[in-house]
This record gives sequence, structure tokens and C-alpha cells, in this order.
Amino acid sequence: MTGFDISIVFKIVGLGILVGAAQYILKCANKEEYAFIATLAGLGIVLFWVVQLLGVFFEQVKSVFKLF
Amino acid sequence: MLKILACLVIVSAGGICGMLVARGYSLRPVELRSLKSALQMLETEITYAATPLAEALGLVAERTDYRLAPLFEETRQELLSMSGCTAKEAWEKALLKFYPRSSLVGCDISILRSLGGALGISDSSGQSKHLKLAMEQIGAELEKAEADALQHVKLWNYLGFLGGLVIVLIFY
Repeated sequence: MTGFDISIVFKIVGLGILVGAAQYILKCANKEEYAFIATLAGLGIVLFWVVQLLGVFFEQVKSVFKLF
Repeated sequence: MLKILACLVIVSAGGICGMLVARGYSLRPVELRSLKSALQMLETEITYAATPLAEALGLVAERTDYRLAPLFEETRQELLSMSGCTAKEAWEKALLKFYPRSSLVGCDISILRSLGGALGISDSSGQSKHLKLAMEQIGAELEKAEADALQHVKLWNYLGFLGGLVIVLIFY
């Protein structure tokens, strides 16, 4: 687990809280479609971060087992 | 240290942007309400006091809300400058100057513009009818604007700060 930055977890949690708040506010203002877009955007950003981490993970797996 | 300072700047900038948008929504009903009473004053001046249009506009400008006064004042000055334009043209010129500084939107302005075509061209009862029509239309817009303000003011106040926070979080 060397090099794993714990701050990414806090970033994801923070974004989750903010997106939740945005969704609540937008729903209260009768803008369900924007609430959905906000949720989707949050999901996209988190996925972007996680995919980068997964890439690093696969590289490590490959190097450990000497695949390819 | 610098990073935290930049974060604060971004969050407050987002908050201020949201508040500016919210301010537009909250000011529009206020302006529409005073516009309605200003038109009521103008109608009274025209029908009961039979004041000449330029003078009536000056009286309304003095008594009305400071946000709307420039519209009537500029029309009056345009009329008094003897440049040879009709009341409609003077009204339209003042409206074009007034529009960017106000919180009114396109449909409010189009109501005012169509009112301008009736100013000073017919007898007092004809003008009074047009003024009443404009007041009624503005009243309908006022109801819509109030409902809009109720929804949007809170929304934009929160959304600005949230947007700033999200930007900070993404780039931190």
C-alpha cells in the first residue's frame, strides 16, 4: 500500500456530501432534472478519480505477477 | 497557507456570484411593484389633474422609487429638450438606457414599450385605458415574479457557495 494517498477518500466523501446538499436544494426548488444532472456530474468526477487509482492498481498487479 | 487563501477566495467568489443572481430575482418583484404604483400615479396625474405629460412624468419621478425614477426623469428631459421627438420615441430612448441597470426582464420591458406607443397621443381616457392595461399586465408579471423569487432566491444563495466548494474540492 505504499504511495496510496488517504486524502482521496476524504475528497470523495466531501464531494458526496456537497452533491447530496445540491440535490436536496434543487429538489426543494422543483428542479428534479438539474438535481439528476448534479448527481450524475458528481458520479462522473468520482469515477474519474477512481479509474485513475484502478489504473495504478492494475499496473502494480501486472508488475507483481510479471504478466506480459 | 497560500492554498487555503486561494480556496477562501474561490468559495467567496462562488458565493458572491450566487448572491448576485439571487439579488436579480429578489429585486424584480420590488421594481415591478413600484412600477405599478408609479403608473397609477401617472394615470391619476393624466386623468384627474390633466397635467401635461412632461410635468406629470417629473412629478412621478420625484415620488417614485429611486430605482425607477431615471426612466421617468429621462423621458421628461428628452421631451423638454425640444429635440422634436414624440413621447413614444422619448419613452423608448429612456427605456433603452434604463433597461440594463434594472432587474426587469424582456417581457416587462415589452409591456412598457407597448405602453409608450399610447403615451401623449390620445385624450386622457384613452391614455388611462392603456395605463390600466399596462398595470394589469404588470400585476400578472408581479405574481409570477414573486413565485419565481420565492423559489430561486434561496436556491441561488446556496448554489453559489456549493459550486465554489465543489471547485475547491476538485482541484485541491
